[in-house]
Formats: sequence, structure tokens, C-alpha cells
Amino acid sequence: MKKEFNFSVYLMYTKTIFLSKLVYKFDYVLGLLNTCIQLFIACLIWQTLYGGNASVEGISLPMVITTIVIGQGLSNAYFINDQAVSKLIKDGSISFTLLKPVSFRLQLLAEALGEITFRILSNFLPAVIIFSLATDVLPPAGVLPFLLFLISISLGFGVLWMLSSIVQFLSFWVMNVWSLSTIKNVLITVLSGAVIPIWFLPEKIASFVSYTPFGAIYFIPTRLYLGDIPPAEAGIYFTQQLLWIIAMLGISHLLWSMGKQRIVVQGG
Amino acid sequence: MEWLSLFKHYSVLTIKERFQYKLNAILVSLAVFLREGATIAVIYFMLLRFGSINGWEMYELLFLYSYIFFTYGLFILFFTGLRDFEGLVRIGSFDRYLLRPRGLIFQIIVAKVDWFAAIGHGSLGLLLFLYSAFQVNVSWSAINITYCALAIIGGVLIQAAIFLLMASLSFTFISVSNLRQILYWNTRKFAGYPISIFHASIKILLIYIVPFAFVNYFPSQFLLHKTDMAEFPALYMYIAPAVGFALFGLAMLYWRYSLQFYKSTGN
Amino acid sequence: MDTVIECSALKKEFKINKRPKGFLGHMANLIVPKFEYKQAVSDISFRINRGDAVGFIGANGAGKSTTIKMLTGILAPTEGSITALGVHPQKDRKQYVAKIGAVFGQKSQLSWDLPVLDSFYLLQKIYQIPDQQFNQTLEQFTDILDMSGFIEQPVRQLSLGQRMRADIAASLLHKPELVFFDEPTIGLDVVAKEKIREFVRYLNREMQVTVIFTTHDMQDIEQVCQRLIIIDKGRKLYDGTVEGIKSTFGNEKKLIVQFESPACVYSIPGVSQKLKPNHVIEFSFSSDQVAVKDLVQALLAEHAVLDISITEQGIEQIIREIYEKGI
Repeated sequence: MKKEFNFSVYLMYTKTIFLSKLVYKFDYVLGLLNTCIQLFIACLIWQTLYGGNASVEGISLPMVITTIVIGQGLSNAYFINDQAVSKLIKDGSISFTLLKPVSFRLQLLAEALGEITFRILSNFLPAVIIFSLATDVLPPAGVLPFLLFLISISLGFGVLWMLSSIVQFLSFWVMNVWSLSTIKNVLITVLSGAVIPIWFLPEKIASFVSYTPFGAIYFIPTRLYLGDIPPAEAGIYFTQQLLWIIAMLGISHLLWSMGKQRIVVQGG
Repeated sequence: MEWLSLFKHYSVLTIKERFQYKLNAILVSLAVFLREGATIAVIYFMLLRFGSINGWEMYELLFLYSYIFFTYGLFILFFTGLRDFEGLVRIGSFDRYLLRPRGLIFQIIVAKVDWFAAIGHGSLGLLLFLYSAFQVNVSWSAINITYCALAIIGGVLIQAAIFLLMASLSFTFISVSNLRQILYWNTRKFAGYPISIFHASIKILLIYIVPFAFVNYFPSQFLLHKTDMAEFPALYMYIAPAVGFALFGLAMLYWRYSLQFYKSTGN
Repeated sequence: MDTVIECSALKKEFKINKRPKGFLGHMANLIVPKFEYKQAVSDISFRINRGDAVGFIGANGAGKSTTIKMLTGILAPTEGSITALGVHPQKDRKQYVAKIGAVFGQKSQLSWDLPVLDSFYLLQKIYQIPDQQFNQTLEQFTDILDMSGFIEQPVRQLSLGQRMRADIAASLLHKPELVFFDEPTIGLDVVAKEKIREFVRYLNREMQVTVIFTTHDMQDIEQVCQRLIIIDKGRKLYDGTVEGIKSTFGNEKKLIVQFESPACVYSIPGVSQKLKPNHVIEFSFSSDQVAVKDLVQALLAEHAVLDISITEQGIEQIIREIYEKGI
């Protein structure tokens, strides 16, 4: 079936999810509390680790705190339900979804963006404001670094989304993707630099990370923000992020086409 | 010992049930193991660079952490039914428990014995415990071993008491998942570190409100004697194992009282 | 006669948390919750004797399920008392439930992923049934309920009818004296329903088990039960024999007459008329006020009549009217 691309349709999905989230105000307060507690513990631990030292290996405590607040704060806001496709396959409504005159994958993305926009506004930004007042969260290194950060963080989300879509489409073959999703999240937690900045990982592991997409999600944008990557070199890092997106899009697309075939063969 | 045979029977059944989806069962254990391992990896990497946190060396911290994982592993083996009790009430399956001539807590325990999750959670705790126990400066005398065993049982019971309280509350409130998230899961995030690094209000939370400090901090202090214990009453180290038994007893009383409020939703 | 259940002035109130709207309301609700009370059962009393087969009917929300749950000891009554099999169902829960069985049409007690037999063996352990008795009962049920074909299959592969039969067997392995069937025929096809009715009849008549049966299907009641209790708005509306309901509520008859040409019939005392297309008039009357014979004679005497038919209310229709209008 030919599916026409109509942007306003996808915007509707985004808007619907966004508005539906507004209803649960209580959850929103709890979510913010949750993020604050998590960031609070992390900052406290880094403070204790630094124990009054101004900098460790050239990295100052405020740099670490900024990395943590951006990385962990955003990872709380980036709520992606890895089990969305799996649920549709299990209850059989996937074939029904495929009949709709909209691209299913864009619909998924549009819905996720609705949820994430809501969380960034209601959770991430308030938390950043609270922590800027309470601790040493650094301002961006300048206007240009901030603009580059905005571009890079969008690409970073793209990388995360592609990772998630690969896991999602594996549900055509694996009954329960919860475990795959958990394993993926473990790798992101340890290797993305959101919990422990990549500067402090053992050298071997840090060099391993540079061959994986994990550093491209939060850490590259944060380094641009801090000016740790000079704006002149930003191009290299953008290319790196883009290449990851394209490579994983390829894999995800392959899985999707093969998986869709399976559904058709089984007759839904 | 008749209950033990029923426990065994249920265990065999749940394992059999899980093995209908073998790959899935193994993946779940692996995922749980890795998820817990991630926390350890982070601490490990941090301390590789920084050496110590408030006077606690790497192995001491791992020892402290192993209590959390090991007790949770045991907890999950016996009390998964308690952890997921809210769902049981929501879909009305608790009715069936009430219709069987066995103790309710007993049924909740035996009916959901989850060996796979327990292996995922517990094995890391056990490995970590065995690994760190011989690196830290503790003489494993008979007294210390006995204390340690009791403290682990106490730690399991503290967590069981928290969840039993939530289960009792779910008779009246139905949805306690938010409360559980705040009281248990968020508090647990603090408990992995020596509580002496935290602000006074968090110390109060961890000692008197959601007493995670008695699950790992005070028991570890009994064995490790770190200097930061000076700010807490020494008594807390000695009573740590008993706290769990006392709290579980209290939670049982509240559970008995709350049963009359069971609404049996659904058809 | 031997009394199995005696309950008097049962009342059950549910406390419902009234959630105020808005964020402030929500916070206020956490601190000082507001409640309202809903009465599911207002006042129900009855006595059930050993060997009875009692049908329980009532519209959704009439209080039927709540009553059954109180009788089985799942719910505590707000007021009133229940004595069943000589004990207090809640205080002596373990002792009581060891002697009762309960089948819920909407909720299976079998393990979804395991063979039926595995669930049975588990129940043997739970109820501590001696091996010999267990094997004997199992053999008997396998035979009567025709389970040999699927007893070793995982429950998820069974048809609804097979699953229901297995569920019934599971609830009876410990040889209960009193069995509750809560909508056991729901969603089943005609043949599967028939098998279940047949079995419950056998259980009640041959094995002298006291049966309490809820359903929305009146044929279930007519074929299984001798006694019927109708519950509406938390109260007992009718308690008597199944046949008795016809004489209590169902004495309305309808005479449908087709006339040759448009006819105008003068009003007759006790008879209401309803005009239908094709010169048809429907006369409704109560059979103890108006005799059919007199009415027919009067009509034939004055009008040219093409066709006459007479209908009597079936139980199903009586119940439907009770549900819709109450009494």
C-alpha cells in the first residue's frame, strides 16, 4: 500500500500523547521528585569522591555535575517504551495497525516525541533549574557551543531511538523483549557517560566505547556544551553521530521488513 | 515439614512453567544479573580512579553493596508474591487464595517462588559477598558468621515487612505503585553507599522511616568498624538483625487487621 | 432438614474514595480522603438445605456476585451474619474452605502454561488429599467430564469448554459438600453448556452435593435448579421454586388477533390493547382476571377474524421484565 506522507497527521499523534500526559499531574510531581532524588544522590557521590579537590585529571567537579545532570536528566526524560511493538504483536493488533494509511514507524516516533516533549518540559527543565540553583551546573561555554549542543543532542536522540527500534523489531522473533531492552539499557547506563563520565572509565573501556554508539547519545553533546570539544571539530562528531544513525537505521529497516513478512505469512 | 514439600512442589511447577519458554527464562535471569551488575561496574570504575569514598575502600563498598543484592535475591525467592501483590488484588486473583485451606501469607510465598529472578539477583550478591568478604579486614569467627547470617535474614525481613505493609495498604488504596516507587526503590538507591555521606534528613529516612540502614550499613559496620560509625549509636549495630524480625511481626499484625477491607474487584 | 447455609440480614457496603478533580484536590485527597458509601447488598436473608440446588440470578450489579463472595468467605459482610456448614466462613476460613468448592467461569484456577494434570496434583497437595482417594476421584471425573483427551495438554491449548470442565474438576477434587458455580456456562456453546448442566445435575442428585449456581442463562436454571433466588438492587426479590415464578409473576397472557379489515374494539375491563400493522391488535391481560375463552368468543361474535394466536410468558421473559422494571 502507498502511504502518503502527511506531516500534520504525525503532529496529531505527538499532540494527543502530549495532552493525555497533562492529565496525570500527580505522576508528574512524582516523576520530578524521582529525577531530583536520583540527580541529588549522584551529585553528592561525586562531591564526596572529589573530596575538596578542584580538579581530577583536568576535569573539574562542576564539569562532572553538568555531565551528570544533562545525561541522567535527559535519560529520565527519554521515555521510550521498548515493548510497544511486542504488545501489538502479542495481542494481534499489529496487522490492524499496518492497514492504517500512516507509516507505523513514524507513528511510533511521533507518539514517543509527544511523551518526551512533555517530559522535557515537565521533568528535565525544572530539574535543571533546581540543580543550577542548588549546585554548580555550568552554563554553556558560549552561544555557538550551545547551538552545536542543540544539534548534537537531537542527533543523540536519533541514536537512542534507533537502538530502541532495533530492540523493538526483534520482538518479531523474541517472545519477551523486556530482557533485551534491559540489557540494552544496562549498556547505555554504564557506557554512555551519563552515570560515570567517559573521562573516568578505564582506558581500555573508554577506547572500546568509541567504537560503539553509546557515547554519541549524551556524552558528545555534553562535551560540545562544555566546550570540551572545540566548535571547529564539531563536524567530525556530527558525522560520527549521523553515521551511527544511518547504520542502525539500516539494521532496523531490515528487521522491520523481514518481521512484517512474518506477520503476513502467519496471516496476522 | 509438610509446608516444605508444598514449597518444593510449587517450585518445580514454576520452574516447569518458565521452561516452557526456555530462552526467555534464561534471558530474564541474564538481564536481571546484568542490571544489578551495572551498578557494581559503575562503583568499580569510580573507585578505580578515586580510591575511596568517605574512607570506604573498594572492597568494603562492594561488601556493603552485596548485602543489598543478596538480601533482595533471597527476598525475591520467597516474597515475589508479596512484591506483586497489588496486581493480584487488582485482577481479583487473591480470591482464590482465600478459597484454599492454607495460610494466606504462606500461599503468597509459595505460589510465586521465582527461582530465575532469585538467581539473577542473588547470585551476583552472593558472588560479590564471597569475593569481598575475604578481601576486607574481617576475621570470620563463629560469632561473626552467626551475626552475618542473622543480619542477612533480618535484611530480607525488613524488605518483606515494607512490601507486606504495601500489600496491606493495597486493600484500601488499590494503587500503591507510586508509594512503592518512592519508599522502596528510591530509598534503595541511597542505601548502596555509606549513609554517613548523606544529609541528616536522609539519614533519618534510612534509619527510622525506611530502615535500609539496618539491611546493610549497620551490619557491615559491625564487621568492618569504619570510623564514620562514630556518629551513630553503637547499639544499632547490635540490634540490626533483630530489627527485621520486629518489623515483620508488626507488618503481620497490620496485615491481619487490613484483610477485612479486601474488596475483591473484578467479576 | 439439615441446614447448610443460614444467613440473615446480610448487608455489604463499599467505601469508595471520591477523587476530587484537579491537582490541589488530589493532594488534599491524599491527606484527608473523602469517601462515599455504595450499598451492594442491602438486606438479604435465606436458608439453604443440604442437597438443594439453588439458582441465583440478578442483573449485573444487582448484588449477586457480592452475595456469593460473602457466602464463600471472600468478603466480610458489613452487617448481618452467615453460618455455613456450621462455622463462620471468615473466622474459620481454613476449616470452612476445605469443605467447599468454587468455580468461577471468568477466572480459571489452572496454570495457563502447564498440563491440566499438574494443576490437579498441586491441588492434591494443597488440600492434602490421600493418594487413594485422589486417584479414585480423578478417574471418576476424567470419565464423567470426558477429560481423558486433554488432561495432559497445557491449559492454553484447550477450548473454553474443555477448560471449564477441567476447572470444575479442579474445584471438586477434595470432595466438597457445598459447591458454588459462578457463571460456569458463560461464553460456552450449546453443546458445552449442556455437558456442564448434566454434570452439575449429576453432582447434585447422585452425589448429594449442595449446589449454588449463578448464571444469566435461564435454561441453566430450569435444567439444574429446583429453587430460584432472584436478587435485585441488593435485595431478595423472589425465593421459591423455579415453576413458582410463573404463577407469581408470569400470569400475563397475550392474544394476538388479525382482523380482516381495520377494526375498532371497545375497551374490555382488565385487557389492554396495542395496535399493530396489518390490522393486528395485541390484547394483554392477566389470566386470573380474564378467561381466554370469554375474550375469544366476544371477539369472534362481533368481528371478522383471520388469525388468532396466544402467548404465555416464558421464564426468560419474566426475568427480563423484572430486570428492566423491577417490581
